[in-house]
Amino acid sequence: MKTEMSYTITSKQLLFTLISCMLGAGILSLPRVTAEAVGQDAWLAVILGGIIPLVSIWLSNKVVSRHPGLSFAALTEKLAGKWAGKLLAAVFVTYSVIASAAILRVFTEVITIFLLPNTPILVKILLGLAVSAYMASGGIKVLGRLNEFLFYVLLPPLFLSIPAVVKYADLHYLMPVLNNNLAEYSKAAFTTGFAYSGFEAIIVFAPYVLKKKETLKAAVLALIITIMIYLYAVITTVTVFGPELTQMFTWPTLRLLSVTEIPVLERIEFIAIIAWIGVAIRPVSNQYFCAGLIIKDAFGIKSLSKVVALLYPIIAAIAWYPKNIGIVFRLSDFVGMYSLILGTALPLLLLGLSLIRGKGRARDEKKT
Amino acid sequence: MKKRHRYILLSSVIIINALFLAGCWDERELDELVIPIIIGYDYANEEEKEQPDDKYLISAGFPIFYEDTLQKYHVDITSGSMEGEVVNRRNTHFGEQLIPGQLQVVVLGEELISNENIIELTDILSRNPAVKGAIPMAVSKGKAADMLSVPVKQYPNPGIYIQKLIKNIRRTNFFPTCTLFESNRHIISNHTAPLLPYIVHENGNIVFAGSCLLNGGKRIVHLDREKTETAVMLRGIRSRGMITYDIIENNKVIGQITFEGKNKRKVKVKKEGDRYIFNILIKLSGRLYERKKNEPVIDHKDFIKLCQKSLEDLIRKRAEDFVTIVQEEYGFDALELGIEIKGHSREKISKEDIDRIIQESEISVEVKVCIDNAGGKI
Repeated sequence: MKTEMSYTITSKQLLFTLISCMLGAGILSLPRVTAEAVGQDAWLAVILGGIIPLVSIWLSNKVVSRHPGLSFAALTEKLAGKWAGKLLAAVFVTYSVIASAAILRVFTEVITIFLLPNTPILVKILLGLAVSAYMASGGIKVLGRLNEFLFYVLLPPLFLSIPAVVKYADLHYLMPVLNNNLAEYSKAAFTTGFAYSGFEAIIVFAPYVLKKKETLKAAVLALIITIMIYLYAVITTVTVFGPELTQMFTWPTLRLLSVTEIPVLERIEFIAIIAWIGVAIRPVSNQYFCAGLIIKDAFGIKSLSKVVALLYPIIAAIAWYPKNIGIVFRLSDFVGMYSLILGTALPLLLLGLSLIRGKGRARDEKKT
Repeated sequence: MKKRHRYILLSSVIIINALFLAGCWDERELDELVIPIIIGYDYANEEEKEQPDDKYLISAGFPIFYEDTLQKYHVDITSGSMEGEVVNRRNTHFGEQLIPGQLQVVVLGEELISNENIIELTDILSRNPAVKGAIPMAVSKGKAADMLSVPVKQYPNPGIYIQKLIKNIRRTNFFPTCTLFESNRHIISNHTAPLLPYIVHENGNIVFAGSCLLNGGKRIVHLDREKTETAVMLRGIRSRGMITYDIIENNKVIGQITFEGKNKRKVKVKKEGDRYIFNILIKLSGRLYERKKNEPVIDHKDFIKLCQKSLEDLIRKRAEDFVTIVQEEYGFDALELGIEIKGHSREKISKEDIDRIIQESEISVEVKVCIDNAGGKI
């Protein structure tokens, strides 16, 4: 279950993969979620929300660097024992499957509202998931390259909001600064959880990085880039709509694009959505791949494609399950919380086990 | 073997995509669409009601794309108890699907907007992502439905006429434009009364006759042309227009000129205890557009300075009068100071608080005019 050379990525690809894991559907609703929590200090919630992922990244890198060359499934088995290790892997697989389904469903909801209102949800889920399955079955190298390429697709839609910002943004909407109490900021930091969910995938991807020393740097840089993009989305939306109006839109980031008209292009939000489809499908594929890879490694299955095919109906069924947008958001919140807990508790547990085993081994070596 | 598996998977993805092509459900034939470009909101009279419970009358102007038709523009007027019901009933008049994405203007009947909240009235539009937030809105004298049916000769239809009129007014006059998004922002985020242009039908033309302030999204206050210009400048609605005024030197009128230029504002806020002190600086910059006494400008050394001062005095006087009316008569935020108050207060501020602060605060106005040039003549 050691990592093979054909299964390697560069630190740059890890950077883009981690950005892709975090940046997807969450960016569209983040301004609303943060404005609901702390009003005009929404931007601060984005920064605070990045603290837990930062801790998780450091812990995960510490665990992985202590056991180089071991995949996540092998690592859990080595540290926690065969069955407990498999259980830990199962917990991660469950998370990845649910996260993949939740992101896919949010993605589908946006497409339903803005582009294809009459196409059945199930069809959109099946089609979106088919693309993700194909991407996931390509392996880590293909995924790494795709994540890098599709990152550049995100940039043009971000700039499309500039005319609205230039015309309507007012910095008064960010005032007064620091007008909430600590409890409210802490709550806000947690509510941004869903937006950052995906950072925990570092523990799965890190073992495959070619230059191990660059892993932490790449992961932290990925988090910083994600925070910057989120800050841009939140600040532009809140300064244009104001904190109160921001809370009234389901997808305020997209709504921002509809307040101005650009000559010739006219309705820029639809151009942005088309580009965003390429962006939002990446976290689905990444989580899908994580689940598939862990199962493949844990059970010694040779073909990743078979595992991907096996997971297809499960993810589709979970994505299809929510009956309305309220349940979709509840599922998203659940994934956000699950991500924060899993992202910190799992690497912490593994690091603890690694330290205990390391000490034990050192004692044995001394005795012999 | 592995390669073969991948080919099978790829083929399956392509086949599934082809089978479930999204166009199957969301396909729309261009020939089977109706595209309203303008809509008007009114109360329904007894004789206009389709059902006794109907309250609203919504008129929609559609361009007709069929080649061999008598008319190229049609106004559909339908009543209902809610706007959704109106849309539903309208669908019984048309075989085609209604596409709201190209909606260009919303006209609100005066009587309706005096009693109903604009946020609730336009909810159906704000909720629909197909409808852009940049739709300009206007209040019409009398019924909006009548405005939509005004015969126009120089434009393909009244919808395009009103759209051009409303959209471009800020480029030629110190008049406001207010989009769907802006009115929502004023009411929800700023607790400020939106300022909507007011249009009337006169001598075969639709013309601007000032503006309307919608306190709390509904109660209407009419502003005439002069007050509208002043309100636009005080609120900092960036526009471009002309002002004709007298040049006064030592309390004597020495000439008359027309100024052409643009405006902007700067607000300084100070808080002394619970009391707010506002200083609104109106900046006008532009050129001398016309002079009645047609002598070279150099006949008077400080003529440009004098022109600037006369305009500053005129605008300041108008602005101070308007501020007094706002504080003593209206009693709500007609000056777009709500955003400043909220930005300077650590307490949660409601609309009532803002109205009270506006009434009790000290508001001073400064005007700075900069005439850059005198056109092609000295």
